[in-house]
Amino acid sequence: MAQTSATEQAVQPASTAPPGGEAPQQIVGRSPWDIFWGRFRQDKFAIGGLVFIAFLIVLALVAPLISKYVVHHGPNQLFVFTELNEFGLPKGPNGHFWFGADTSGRDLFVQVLYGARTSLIVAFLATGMAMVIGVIMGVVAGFYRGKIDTFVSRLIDVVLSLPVLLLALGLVSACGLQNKGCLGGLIRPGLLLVSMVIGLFSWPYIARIVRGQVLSLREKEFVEAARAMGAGDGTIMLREILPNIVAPIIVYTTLIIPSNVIFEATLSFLGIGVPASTPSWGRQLSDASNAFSYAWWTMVFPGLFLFGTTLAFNLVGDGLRDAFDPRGFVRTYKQKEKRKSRRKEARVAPEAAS
Amino acid sequence: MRRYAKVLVLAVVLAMGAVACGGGGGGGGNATSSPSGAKPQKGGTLNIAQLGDVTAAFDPQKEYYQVSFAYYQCCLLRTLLSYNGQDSAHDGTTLFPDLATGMPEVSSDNLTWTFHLKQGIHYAPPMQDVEITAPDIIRALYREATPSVAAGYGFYYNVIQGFSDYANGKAKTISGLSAPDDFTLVVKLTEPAGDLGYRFALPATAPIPPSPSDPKAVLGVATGHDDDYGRFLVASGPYMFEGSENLDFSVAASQQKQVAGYVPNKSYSLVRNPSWDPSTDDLRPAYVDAMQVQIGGDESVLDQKVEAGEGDLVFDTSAPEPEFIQKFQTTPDLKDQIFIDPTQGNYYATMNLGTPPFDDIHVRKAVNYAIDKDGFRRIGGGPATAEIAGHFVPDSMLNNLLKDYNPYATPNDQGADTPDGLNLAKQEMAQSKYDHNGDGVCDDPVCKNVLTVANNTKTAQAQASLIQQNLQKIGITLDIKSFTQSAAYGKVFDPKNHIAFTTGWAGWLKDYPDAYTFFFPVMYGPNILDQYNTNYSMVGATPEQMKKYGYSVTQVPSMDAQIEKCFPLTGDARVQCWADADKYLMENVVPIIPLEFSNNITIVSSRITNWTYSAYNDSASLDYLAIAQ
Repeated sequence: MAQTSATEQAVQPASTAPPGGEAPQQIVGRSPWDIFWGRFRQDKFAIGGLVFIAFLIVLALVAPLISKYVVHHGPNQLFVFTELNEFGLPKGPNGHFWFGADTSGRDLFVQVLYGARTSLIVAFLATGMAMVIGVIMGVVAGFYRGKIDTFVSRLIDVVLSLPVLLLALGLVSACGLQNKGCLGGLIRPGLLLVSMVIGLFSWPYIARIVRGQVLSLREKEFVEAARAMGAGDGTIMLREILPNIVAPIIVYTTLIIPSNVIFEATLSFLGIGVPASTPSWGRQLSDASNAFSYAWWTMVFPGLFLFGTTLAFNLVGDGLRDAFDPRGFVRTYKQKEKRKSRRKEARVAPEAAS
Repeated sequence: MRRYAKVLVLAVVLAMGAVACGGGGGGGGNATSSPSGAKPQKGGTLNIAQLGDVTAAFDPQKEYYQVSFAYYQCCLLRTLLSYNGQDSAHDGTTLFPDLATGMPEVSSDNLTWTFHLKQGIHYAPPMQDVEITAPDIIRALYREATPSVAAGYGFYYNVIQGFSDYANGKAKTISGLSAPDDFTLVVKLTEPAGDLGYRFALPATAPIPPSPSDPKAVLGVATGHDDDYGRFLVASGPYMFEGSENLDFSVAASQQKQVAGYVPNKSYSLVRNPSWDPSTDDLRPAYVDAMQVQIGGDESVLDQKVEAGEGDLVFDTSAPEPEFIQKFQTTPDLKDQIFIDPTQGNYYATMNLGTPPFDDIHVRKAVNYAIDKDGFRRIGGGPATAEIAGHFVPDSMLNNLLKDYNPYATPNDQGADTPDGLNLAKQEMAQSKYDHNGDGVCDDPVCKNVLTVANNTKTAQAQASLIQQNLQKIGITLDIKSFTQSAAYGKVFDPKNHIAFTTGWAGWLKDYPDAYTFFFPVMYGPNILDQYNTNYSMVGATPEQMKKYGYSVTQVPSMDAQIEKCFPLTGDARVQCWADADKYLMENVVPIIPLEFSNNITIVSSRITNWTYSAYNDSASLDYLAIAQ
């Protein structure tokens, strides 16, 4: 607690010395959260994205309920005679199958709902993994500098220079085909393996940003103060530095979620993602790639959801970055002013002309 | 996009008690009438698209693949006996003399077969001056037996005296092959083989000319080409690879230049063989002047090209995409450009007799009732793609004797997807020892998580899910493991893997039009092998074998007596015997669920006339197709 007392001492004299006798005007400081929220909620696109993500999460959560109580069948149930025609071709959207049938006669609507689960689970798991690894690596590298930094930075270079897709293809197919998995059963096919592969390739982005931030933060006075108070390395990293880099971490984590959603879809599209019985947007799109000429719905619905999801996460990520960025407000404020004045000019100009 | 693996039977042919008689009935070679009626015109170039190259670079002793067999039979190679290239209603599965003057003479003990060759038939350039003689056929069989060639189906010739000894290096010659004169071939057998005639119509027996530089060379012009004779192939049929005339067999093999008309994995160019004399060949009309084959591409893209007239047909083991089948069948202008013909191939699901619950015949019968065959077929493309199968051997191979035979019929063949079908399945299951409470639903733990192998294509996956759904209703849950086609075959080829169930992605295609080629590799106990075992159900395995492969069930039913009974028979009696064996199989052994007798579906461009289907090749007769001028 050394560093908190240090800051308290520094702040106290100012706050406990009312200059005059008259009742001071109550100035309530805005908490960082207030500032952030105040900015964020002005970003209509980000709010829209957030609403969409919330909607998607709810859909994913209640997918089993919808399939049980609303449409009355599961994602892998086949409707060979009602939803495939005599040539084995699927029927389009109808009152019974809202998104139509896929090429095997399954309900595409339920498939897409369950696909949302897969995408979100993989995206969150993989991104969580990437974040944890990335933050630890970044903080350690930035804080200790020297050899550790060199090692971590080169490791980042190595991981970034690997042909990610090829390696992922190899890893997933090596460990995904046998049921035993590889490394003595340590790596098994399934959601977890796919998440791990994705996570292992996306941490460097976070690590690099964190490292940069930490490099500058570690020279700041409050760190020196904490060190002067006798704080250990762990305490400084955890208590002093980490809270200061939460904002960029959140921003970049949000921004790699959509790329991880796409990554999972890519792996599944190539047939090496989640197991065949698990619905996935990528696999649905892959199945549709042969069928779109006669069954547009097989590509449109999973495609729209995939598009919507990545767009939403990107918008939210952008919004978060703007809201957390201390300079962002100034810029947007100035831009708003400019825009206002431009609009005025525009209104004035025609009048002047007439 | 299902693909037959003809590259299957790597068998050692064991005791085949067979009595020989004339291969497949009398001769008579006037079967070249044009089915469409109009007189086809000669000339033009046929543009063919193929998804992939043949499997052994056109080496006639190695190729064991539907597509290469078809090119050899129609166009490139003549054999002692052959087929007329038509459908089974027009004698397309009957043997006719080709290089031979007539059907072979068989000795009274059925052990000596004598073929007489036509005189004055010459090879394609550069061997246009060389006459085809009996030693050339012997040369081909030596090549089939030569270990360094690693031939495709030598087991069909093990019945020839000394063949296996030569192959094993125990003898310097094959004692059972001799040519008393240039136009007589005498084949001596160790035991009777009634279907030997069919085996002398396979491309491995097509003549190989002697080497001009070394007339004594055992392998003739194929000497030094153990791995690439296909690119130096000397043709005898109506066509040859373009540029064959530039082959030079007078120099050492390593200095010879490959034929220009065959670029592996890319293209074939077939042109007329100037040596081919139509007056000696009743079997091949050879209408077009040339064939250009482009290899590679996606089925649906190639289908589009055919529709647009940029190609004439897709010639491969695949079928057109369902959307094209629908389009061609339902569009009046395109209706006469799609052809659907039965193949002599099937698809079936297998149950392993050594793995519970399939050691109980009632469970096996219940599964036969439960599977929705119509739904299975619909996922695969609907009625155009296949006939629903009620038994094992395709109807046309049994002269339609079992046409209406279906011991496990359910309403509309929809199995447990209809209430009546489900009842039938449950009634059968209720008699099983694994249904303890007799309610028709298996309640024993052995019915849970039954180890199942499936192919990972989209269609096969959906079909596997359908079967899974069906069997769920009688209490059997499948634990489906999915693999690529070749990996899936790899799993079921090994009897030690104890694969309990396969979901209908595996099929069988005849090698020649006799049910022997179905029963022997798939249902015959002595043919169970440690590797490449094609008897997935372990029918006829001995208790020692079952123990050796680690099965807990050691007593399994056998078909051996029923199969061996047919070996000595010929003609109608032989066919009847195979039909009886099929019935016995379906009622007393029940190791499989027959699903489909598949059709060949071909779409052709609008300029193609005289469509003819070859029942022997299970595909279009390329030598019959003509181009509208």
